[in-house]
Amino acid sequence: MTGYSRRLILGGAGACLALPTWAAAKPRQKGPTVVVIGGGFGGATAAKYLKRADPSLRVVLITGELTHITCPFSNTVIGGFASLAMLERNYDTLKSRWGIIVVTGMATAIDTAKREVKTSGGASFGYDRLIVSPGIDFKWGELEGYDEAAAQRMPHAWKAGPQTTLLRRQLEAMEDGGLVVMSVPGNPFRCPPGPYERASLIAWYLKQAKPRSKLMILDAKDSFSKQALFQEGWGALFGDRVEWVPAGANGRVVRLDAKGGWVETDFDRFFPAVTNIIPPQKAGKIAAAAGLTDSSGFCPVDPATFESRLVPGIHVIGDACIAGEMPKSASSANAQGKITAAVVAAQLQGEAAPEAKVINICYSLLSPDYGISVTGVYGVRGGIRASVAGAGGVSPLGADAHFRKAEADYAFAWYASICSDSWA
Amino acid sequence: MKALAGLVTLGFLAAGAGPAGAVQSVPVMAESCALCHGMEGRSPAAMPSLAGREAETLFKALMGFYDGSRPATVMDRIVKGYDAAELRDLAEYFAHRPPEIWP
Ligand SMILES: Cc1cc2nc3c(=O)[nH]c(=O)nc-3n(C[C@H](O)[C@H](O)[C@H](O)COP(=O)(O)OP(=O)(O)OC[C@H]3O[C@@H](n4cnc5c(N)ncnc54)[C@H](O)[C@@H]3O)c2cc1C
Ligand code: HEC
Repeated sequence: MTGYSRRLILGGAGACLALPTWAAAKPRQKGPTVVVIGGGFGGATAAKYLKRADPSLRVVLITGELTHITCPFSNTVIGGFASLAMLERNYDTLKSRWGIIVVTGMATAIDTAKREVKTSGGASFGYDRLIVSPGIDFKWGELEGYDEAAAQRMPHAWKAGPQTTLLRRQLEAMEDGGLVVMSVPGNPFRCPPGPYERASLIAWYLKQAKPRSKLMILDAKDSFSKQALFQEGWGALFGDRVEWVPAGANGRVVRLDAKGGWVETDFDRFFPAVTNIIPPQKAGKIAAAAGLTDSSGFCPVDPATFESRLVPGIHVIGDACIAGEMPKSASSANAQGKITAAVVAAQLQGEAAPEAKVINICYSLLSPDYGISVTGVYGVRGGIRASVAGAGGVSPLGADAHFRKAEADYAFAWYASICSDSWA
Repeated sequence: MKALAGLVTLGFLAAGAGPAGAVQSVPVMAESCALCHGMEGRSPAAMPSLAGREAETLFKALMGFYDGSRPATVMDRIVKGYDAAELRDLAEYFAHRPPEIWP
């Protein structure tokens, strides 16, 4: 940490704080170019906060989709109390309000020597700094029998869109009494509490529409995020409708046959009416293509600046990066987008990179009126992003219905806040 | 000023670097609060807005979350990540944000 003191940053006691917002930043004739790959939570936030920190920057956001459908709250579509259309985010405001150049297309290669990104459209974009937030891709085939064709019969729904709709349709079409099976991978994967939120909201739907049906979670792990809270809620809301089978009780799915309609653990074969396979994951393809990944399939980064440990001048944020104790969540991606934007903007101005603790929050719904959460505050300690001791943790066990309802309402409010913070 | 006096007795007013060991940039630290409270503390939905409110009010609320005197679903877990000086700075920061910015 160099010349930064608290007073300096605050601009002096009493004075109206002179902070580096767009109003305070030094305008320049023609600023350097920052290219951002990926218009999800990480990339959209980074692009917006770069312009906010320094409007003279030329910010180019390259993203594969015209509109982004958020994974957060897609479990409510599967549970049947929201529509996919409510989860669509577009790039209009990033363009009109923030002056970001939005390019629709996939980044296919990064030439680190020339500092250029190539896109599927055949164009090249030069950069002074590059921020990469491509989310995840699946390790197809790692689970024997599970490939892209199999996902048309046994959806993953782990990227929101047609897969989400497919899983919902299958649940609707299922006969009462049918068995629903979910397969959950080992760590690390996108959204650690996500599979269990999904299980809850499927159970919530079954309870009303298919009261004789059951849900079984076949897990490659022996414990999971917010486990005690989920299990408390399942007991209270769904009785024995949800069964969780840990790895130690032979829960890990080892192979499947989507056409034959079965999944297998080491000892059992199941023929579910509906099967949701959450496959093992890695950083979005472009990360490996650019040499940003290690043997885990994800990207090691400096915990203060999110600069790649493998390729200097490129920052990796969101699900694709290895962020120490921060989970792979939309909240983390948003927080990492902001800190990285602040770091890159400062460095391009020739200033020292600021440091800041960041917050993660993962709300989960067990029903429309029953919410729980896990949160943490993360600083740099021991060479990683680590949780500040004494802070964070999960919602209390044994809280009353009023408390759970308040957290459910705050979960919806969080979604509205983070979406406008990222895309508007 | 009562809150300030109370602070000293609370004992965690160890000034200087935060638990992460580095001096924190207040604006960047505050950006993290936005994922719930909205950009610069202007909330678009049911989270409370922070922008443009009295610094003292915000600070007292934060201290109340810290010592448990103010009911909370989540803020009690979040404030523990900051020392009192940082909470004071965060309250000041949000107090100086315009409550409305886009006409
Ligand atoms: C069912 C489910 C529920 C979830 N619920 C929550 C929740 O409640 N709270 C929470 O905090 N998190 C939640 N998550 C996790 C959250 O979705 C991710 O952590 C978050 O989206 C990560 O952001 P990202 O920017 O890394 O990736 P993404 O948001 O996935 O964005 C990546 C973007 O980059 C684009 N892209 C990829 N490669 C390229 C390329 N080569 N060129 C151009 N564009 C590219 C993609 O098309 C995509 O638009 C949930 C996830 C799932 C699956
Ligand atoms: C996970 C979402 C979340 C995050 C992140 C968050 N807050 Fe809050 N905040 C809340 C909620 C919810 C409340 C209402 C009290 C409660 O239930 O905990 C609240 C209440 C407050 C209040 C009291 C407002 C009032 O009118 O009563 C203040 C002040 C506050 N937060 C400041 C902050 C600051 C500063 C940060 C960043 C360090 C922050 N919050 C981060 C969710 C959040």
